[in-house]
Amino acid sequence: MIDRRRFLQSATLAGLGGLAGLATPGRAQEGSITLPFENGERELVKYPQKRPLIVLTSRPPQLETPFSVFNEGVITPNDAFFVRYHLANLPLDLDVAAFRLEVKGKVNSPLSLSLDELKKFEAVETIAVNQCSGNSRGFFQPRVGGGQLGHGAMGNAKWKGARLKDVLEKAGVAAGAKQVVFNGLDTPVVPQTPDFIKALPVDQALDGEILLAYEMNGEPLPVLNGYPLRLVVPGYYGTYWVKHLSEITVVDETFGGFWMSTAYRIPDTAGACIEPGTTPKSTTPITRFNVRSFLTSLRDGATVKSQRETVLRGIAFDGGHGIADVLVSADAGASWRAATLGKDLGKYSFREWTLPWKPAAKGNVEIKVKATNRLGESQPMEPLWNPAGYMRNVVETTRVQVTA
Amino acid sequence: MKSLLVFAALASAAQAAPLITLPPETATLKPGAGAEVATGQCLVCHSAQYISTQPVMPRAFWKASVEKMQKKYGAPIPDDQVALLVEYLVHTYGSEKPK
Repeated sequence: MIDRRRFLQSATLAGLGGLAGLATPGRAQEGSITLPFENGERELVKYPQKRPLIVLTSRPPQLETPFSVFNEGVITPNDAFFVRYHLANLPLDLDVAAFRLEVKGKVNSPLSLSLDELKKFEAVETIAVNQCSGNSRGFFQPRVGGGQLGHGAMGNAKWKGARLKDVLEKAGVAAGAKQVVFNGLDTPVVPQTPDFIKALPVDQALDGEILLAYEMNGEPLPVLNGYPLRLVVPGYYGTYWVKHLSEITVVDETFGGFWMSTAYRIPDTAGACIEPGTTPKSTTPITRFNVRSFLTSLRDGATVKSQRETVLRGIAFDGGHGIADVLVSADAGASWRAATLGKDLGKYSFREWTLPWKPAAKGNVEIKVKATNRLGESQPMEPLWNPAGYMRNVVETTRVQVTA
Repeated sequence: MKSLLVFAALASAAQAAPLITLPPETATLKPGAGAEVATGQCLVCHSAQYISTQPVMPRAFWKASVEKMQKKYGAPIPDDQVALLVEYLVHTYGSEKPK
C-alpha cells in the first residue's frame, strides 16, 4: 500500500514536471539513440551494474543492448546484456543468505535449497544465446504492438550452474508428471495481474541441457539478469529463462497460466507466420529460436573506400543445432560468397564469421547475410509476419556507401 | 504525512540495503484531454514508454490495449473510464489527429 501511494505521488510530480516542460533533476541519461524505424527515439541510461543501454521502458526495466556491442566479441559482457521484465515489483531487497529454491509438486521428496546447497551439485558451463521472443519487433511491417525493439534484445554468455535434471532427480520426479513449472521472485504491482510463471515438458526438463544458473561470464548474475539464480534454457526464447528463480513445481497436467496459455504464443503454422494483418486460426507456445545472422562490423549507412580490402565480420546462431555455413552477398543478393566461421563455442553460442571484401567501384551497396544450420534450416529472403511480432529471422540487409 | 515518512525511514533502516537502486523514472505521458486519468490508471503498473514507444496505431489497437489491460492484466480501470482512455491514447499517440 505504501509502495502504491509513494508511486502515485512520484508519478504526479513527474507528470507536473513534464507538463510544465521542466528539466527533471537526477537524470541518469547518457545520451540518446534512434532505432531505424518510426518512433525509434530512445534514451541511453546507465543502470546499476550496466553500461549505458537503450531504454525501452523504465518500469519495469527493459533495456536493449546497443548493436555495436555485438562487434566487440562473441561473448556479450554482463554490463551490456539486455534486460527484460514483465512485472514491476522486482526483488531488490532480496537477502541472498535467506534465499531458497523450492522444488515441489509431483516429486517424491520436496527440496528447499540454499544457493550454497545448489552449488554442491555438479557445476556445468554452457555458452548460450538468450534472445527475447520479440527481438527486432520494431522492424515488422505492418507494425505490431508490443515492445518496439531493435536487434539488441539478444546476448551470448557463459552460464554456470547446476543441471535442472540433477536437482529434479534428487527430488525424484513422480510417475505421471507432465510439466515442470517455474516461478521467480518478481511479482505484479496489482495482485490481479497474472504472475510471470512458465512451464516446460518434463522430458525436456530432464534432458540435461537446462541449467539453474548462478554465474554469467564468471561472475554472479547481475541483479537485473536474475540474481541470484535464473533458468537457462539453451536454444529457447528468453521467455522461459525465468529470473530470480525460486519455485520449481512438477505437475501432472498442462499448466494453464496466462503466460503459457494466452501470451507468448505463435501461429501454429510452418515458419510461425500468417498473411500480414490477419489473425491466426490456432496458436501454440513459442519454443526454439530459428536461424539468424548479422553483419556487425559495418553499421547501416556506413561508408567504406573502394579498392581497399576490409574484413566483414558478424555473428550467426540458431536454436541449438549449430551453424553449418554463412553466406554473404555484397550485391543485394545477386551473388553469394561463403564466410569463414570462427571458433565453435558450442551449438547454442553465437558463431563468429568473417569475410574479406574489396569493394570495386563507388556507389551504394546492400550487404546481406544468410546462415544455414546443421539441419539445413536457413533464413527467408522476405520477412515472415505474425501478430505478436515474434521470431523475426529474415536475411538482414546493411546499406553501405562505397566512396572513391 | 510526517509520521508516514518517519515510519518509512525506520522501516528501511531496519532492513538491509537494497541490492541496487534503479535510476529515477522520468518519462511522462503527453498532455491532452484524459492525460490525468491515463497517468492515474496506466502508470500504476508501468512507465509511460509502454505507450509512447508504440508505432502510430489505429483506434482498434488502443481500444484492444485498454481492454487487455483491464481484462487480462487485471488493471482496476473503471468501465466508465475506458472510452476516455481510448480517446486520449488514439489522439495523443495513435492515428487520429490531436484534439
